[in-house]
Formats: sequence, structure tokens, C-alpha cells
Amino acid sequence: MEQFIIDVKKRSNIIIYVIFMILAFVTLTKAYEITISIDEGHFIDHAEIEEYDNKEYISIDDVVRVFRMVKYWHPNNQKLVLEYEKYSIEMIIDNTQIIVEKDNNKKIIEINDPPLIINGKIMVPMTFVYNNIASMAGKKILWDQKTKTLKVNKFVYNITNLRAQTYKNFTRIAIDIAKEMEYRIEKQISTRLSVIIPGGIADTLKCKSEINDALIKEIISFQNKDDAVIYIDFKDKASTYKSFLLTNPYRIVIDISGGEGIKVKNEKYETTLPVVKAKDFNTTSIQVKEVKEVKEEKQKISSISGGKQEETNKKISIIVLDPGHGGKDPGAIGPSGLKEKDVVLKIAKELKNLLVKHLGTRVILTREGDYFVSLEGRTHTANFNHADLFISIHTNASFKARSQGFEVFYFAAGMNIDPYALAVVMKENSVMQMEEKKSLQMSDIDIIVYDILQTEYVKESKNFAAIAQRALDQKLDNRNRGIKQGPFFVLRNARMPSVLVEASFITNRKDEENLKSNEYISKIARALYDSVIKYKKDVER
Amino acid sequence: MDFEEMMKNKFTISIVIIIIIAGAFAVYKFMTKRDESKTDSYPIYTKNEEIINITLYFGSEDSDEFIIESREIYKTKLSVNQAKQAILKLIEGPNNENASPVIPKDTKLRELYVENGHAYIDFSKEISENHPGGSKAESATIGSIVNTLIKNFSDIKDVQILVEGKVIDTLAGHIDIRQPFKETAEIKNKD
Repeated sequence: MEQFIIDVKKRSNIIIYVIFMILAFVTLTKAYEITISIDEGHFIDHAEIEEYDNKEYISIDDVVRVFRMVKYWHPNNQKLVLEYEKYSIEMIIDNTQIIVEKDNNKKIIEINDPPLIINGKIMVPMTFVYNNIASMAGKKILWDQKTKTLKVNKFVYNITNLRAQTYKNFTRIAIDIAKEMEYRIEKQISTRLSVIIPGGIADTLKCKSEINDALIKEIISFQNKDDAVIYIDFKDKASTYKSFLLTNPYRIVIDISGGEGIKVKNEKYETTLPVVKAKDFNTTSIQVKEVKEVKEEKQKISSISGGKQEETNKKISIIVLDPGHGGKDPGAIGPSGLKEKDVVLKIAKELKNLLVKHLGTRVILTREGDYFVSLEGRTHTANFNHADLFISIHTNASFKARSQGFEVFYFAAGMNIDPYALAVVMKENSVMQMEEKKSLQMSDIDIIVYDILQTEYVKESKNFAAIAQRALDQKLDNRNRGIKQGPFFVLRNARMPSVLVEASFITNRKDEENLKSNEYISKIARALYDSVIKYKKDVER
Repeated sequence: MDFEEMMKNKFTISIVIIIIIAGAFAVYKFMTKRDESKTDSYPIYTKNEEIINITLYFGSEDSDEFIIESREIYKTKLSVNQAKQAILKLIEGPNNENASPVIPKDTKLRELYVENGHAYIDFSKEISENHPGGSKAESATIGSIVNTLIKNFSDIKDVQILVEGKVIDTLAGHIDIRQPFKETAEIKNKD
């Protein structure tokens, strides 16, 4: 035991000696040792920093060790490849462009300073560690000059999410923040808005958007020392913005509008909410007290706008078809193993061909192959492309194999309203009203209210559902189960007439046999094609 | 100090520490258990309680109506425990030939609680993973659960379905279940 204590003493002497030597070395060579504290001091490591051209460089071997990367060095072409969790980073000596690959997506990133070979050692700039590796690692890296300690800690994000939503004449960006925070908005260049949040730590993977709508190209966020910075890139430099902070939960809301001359689009106003009868639908509904408020709001809008029902020249030129499920989600499975995801893709593709070939409409599928698409993603495709009609295609299932036939659903407005979302929107509205009382455009409130209630398109959705049900009845020798309403996820946020078709019961042996045959698939596609023609005629009349 | 003696001392100290920790843990367990029993760790029912009848709502293969069946449950002191018994019976499935089950195989009731008229019913992941899919089956599952709870227990005004303790988007990709459900649809009495 005493032996051991002496050992330790000896060892610490050696360490002190070594540190002394290193210190001496540092003063001579402008290189110095730093301490690296990982995850609040859970691990302690040391590395050497060298200054080159007044910039701090660190040996790649230290970086590899600290972050547990795998390094490949190709001396012939001076190429360095780092493998780090899901990332692969390719760097070339003296080159500021690096290639970052994740999930088979390659991205070229420009870094501030190039990697260098100094005294035979591969060195990378510290800025690369702070900025690039930190964000890949989900770590916050802080440099404490006094103690020469590099603190590598897990991010505790206080800017957690960013949502961008396209509305008819503006785009709303909501930034979720963990607490009340100061922020400022700068327009350093004409097409870019910089939102600077001092003390903010943004989850840069979530705080971005490739929205690419009529007003905004994209939104990115990054860390600039102690500030979180969000860049909002405009398409038109004349775009204007207004912003406000909302509480509970805290969020910064920024509305981007087009430059002058962008007029309010035609909106239909209805003085009353459509009464929804849940007669045909066997799930249930919820009555929310906010509905009354919205109703009043809408009546107010209507009275201001004179309650006119403007008929517009509507066109059915873009149709989004949504083959249900896909990828890891097979949907319902038939008794002999037929998968819903395969059947509905076939129907959608055939319907697309018919529409494109004979009707000349633009048709977009929410998925073109066998891969997973989220439910939000499906509606987003339709909203983003400003589709005039959204058809979600499914095959039905029951617990016992007996149910047969086809049915078409449309959204049940007034059912299952999200009181929270409604309250949030109403709140955002009232703030907007207070701040922008004079310039507030009627449509702003109106659009948002409609987005939540989904009432605007119910009449048209029901019309299309009825047409489709009749067409299916004509083409298919199967049981007609009628049109029904329900709080369907994909129909809920669609900002256009939308239906969900349950073409037949894949769980029924007979229906499954039918769904296996190309003839039957063609019949379904043909019936839906006929209904689009009929509906188009009705609408464009 | 002799090395072995030191080790022996260390050993005794360790034993003492372990005993203290184990004791503290036992006391803690005992305390928390007592605490729970004050609220809801009653067994769901005891067999010497009064028996009452409730109505279960099952699916129908022929239409979107529900087929009702009667079941006996114990009239427990807490009505939430009656509701739990009802859901367990619903999970067991129907007796009627024409009625179809509504809860997927292997689904377990994780928890059910009622707060100010809002019922939160938490199922194991099988309710989603083993679900046959389809709008029809999904509607049947939701409708049966909601009807069984609301129609039998007057203190339940709406029902929020949870899976593994969380609010999820849908059970099988169709019906939005992020919000609570209320009210009911037509019922066909085939009992």
C-alpha cells in the first residue's frame, strides 16, 4: 500500500515535470497546451493548439481522439476523411471546401480556414471544431481563455424549433424559445433578414426550413459565439416583415409579406359555420367553446366585407394524389399478404397517367415509390404546390374479414378541433391586431381561421366525395358504403378540397383477389379519373 | 498499518454502508407505497363487491354501427376502477358472432385516469402496431373505446387516447387522435 502511494507521488512529479516542459515549449513555439473538459468535466483531455497566421489550429489526432472519430488519410491526394457518427467529412489540405455526407446526402460546406500540414502534422482550424463539429456532435463548445480550457458540453438548447407556414399573402415564421429572450432583427442585405438572439443556443438541425414558397427561399440558423442567428432569405427584396413575441409558450413570430402591390387574394366569406352532422360517422366529435369565438370573428369579417360571396374563376389545374402508407408502414395487409402500400401506389400512378394524358392537369404524387412519408409531409406537398384538389388513396380493413366495398371520406369540420391551436392562432391574431390595427388586412385573420376550421372547402370536398362515390359505384361491382365524414389527419390541414378514398377492403378475401388484378386497379383509377372530369366541369362552369 | 487489517476494516465499513443503503431503500419503498395506496393503488376490484351491469360497444362487419353487449363488473368504490374493468372486458372481445373485436391482439391497458371529466386512457403500443389498419377498423377501435367509457360512466365527458403514455397522431394512419373525443354515433342493439 505504501509502495503504491509513493508510486503515485512519483507519477505526479513526472506529470508536473512534463507540464513544465510543455510550458517551456509553449513560450518558445507559440504553441500551447489546453485542457479539454467534456460534458461538464466528465472526461478531461489535453491537446495542443498552434497559432498559424494568427489563427488557432489543433492537431487532427486530438480532434479524432476527443470526439471519437475514425480518420482516414490519403497522402496521395492529400485527402482526409473523418467518420463521425452518421457523418462522413471529406477535407483536402489547403482547401476551404469540405464535403459532409449524411444518410447518402452530400453537401459542400465552405469553412473559414483550410486544414494545413504544420511540422508534418495535419492540423485543422479551431473554427472548424467550434462551428462544424460542434453542430454535428450536438455539443456546445466554449473557450475559456483564462484557464485555457475548451469546454465541450451537450447543448442545452433554448431555441428549440422553427416553423414556417405559407399563407395566401404572407408567410409566418414561429421560433420556439425556452424563456423570454431579447431579440433583434437586422436587414444587413436587402434579401436577408437576420434574427439575432443574444444568449440563444439554437438547435440548428430543427431551426431551419427549406420552405421555398413565393416569399421565402430558405431559413437557416447557426451559432455566432454567444448569439444564435437565424437567416431568413427572401425571394423579393421588397418583402416586408413584422414581428412580435408571444408568451405561453414563448415564441417569436415573424410575418413576411410581399412588397407593395401584392393584393389580397379572393377569399370566400360565409356568415355561418356549416353544421356538421356526424350521422354517418362512427367516431365522435368534440365541441370546443372557442368555436363560438371564431364564429363571431368570422361574422365580424363578413360584416366588414359586406358578407359578399365572391365567385371566382376556379380552375382545377394541379392535383395532388396521396397513395397512403409506404416504406416501413405497409398499411393494411390482406389474408394472402397483399399490401395496401403497393396497391394504392399502383392506383395513384395509373390515375396520374390518365389525368396527365387526357386532361393535361399537373399531377403530383406524395410518394413515387415504396418509401415512408409522414402524414404532415403529405398535406404539405399539397399545400406547398397550391393544389386544387387532394385525393388520398387507401384500401380499407376490418377486424374480421367480412367487410367489403368502397367508401369516400371528407373532413369533418367542427369535429375534433384542436382547441390549443385555435387558441394560439386567436392569440397571435389579437396581438397582430393590437400592433397593426391600422394596416391589418382582413384576410389575415380570415385565412388563419379557415386554416384551423377547414370549413372553407367542406362543401367542395363533399361534392367531390359524392361524385367519386357514384363513379366508383358505376365501375365497381362491389358494396357502396356511402360518403362519410371524419377527423382524418391528412385532410385536416389541407387547404383545398380534399377526400380520402377507401377503394375496397384488402382484408376481405374477395376484395383482395380483386385488388390483385390489374383490371380492378384500372377500374378504380378510371372511376376516380371520371370523377375529376365531372368535378372539374362543375367547378369551372 | 497492516495491509490486511486495513482491508478487513474496509470490508466491514462497506457492509455497514450497504446495510444502511438497503434499509433506507426499504423505508423509502414502504413510505411511497403507503402514499400510493391513499390515491389509486387499490386493486381494480375485490370479489366481495356488488355486481353491476355495463354495456360494451363492439364493431360490426356489416355496417359502421356498433353492436352492444352487456357485461357484469364489480361496483368498486372508485368509478375509475369500474371504467378499467369495462375496458379490460372490451379488450377480451365480443361474444356475439356478428360483433367484431375492436382492440388489436396483445394490447394492454396501461393506465386509465379521469380528471375533471376528461378520461385519459393509455394503451400499450400493440394497439397501434397490431392494428389491422383501414379507416373502418380504426374508427371502430376509437368509437368503441369512447362509447364504452362515455355511455357507462357519467363522470367521463371526453376521452383522450394515449399510447405508451404519449399523445400520438393516429393509431393506423387515418384518424387524428391528438385531441379528445366526445359524443357517439348510432348504435344497433343486437344483444
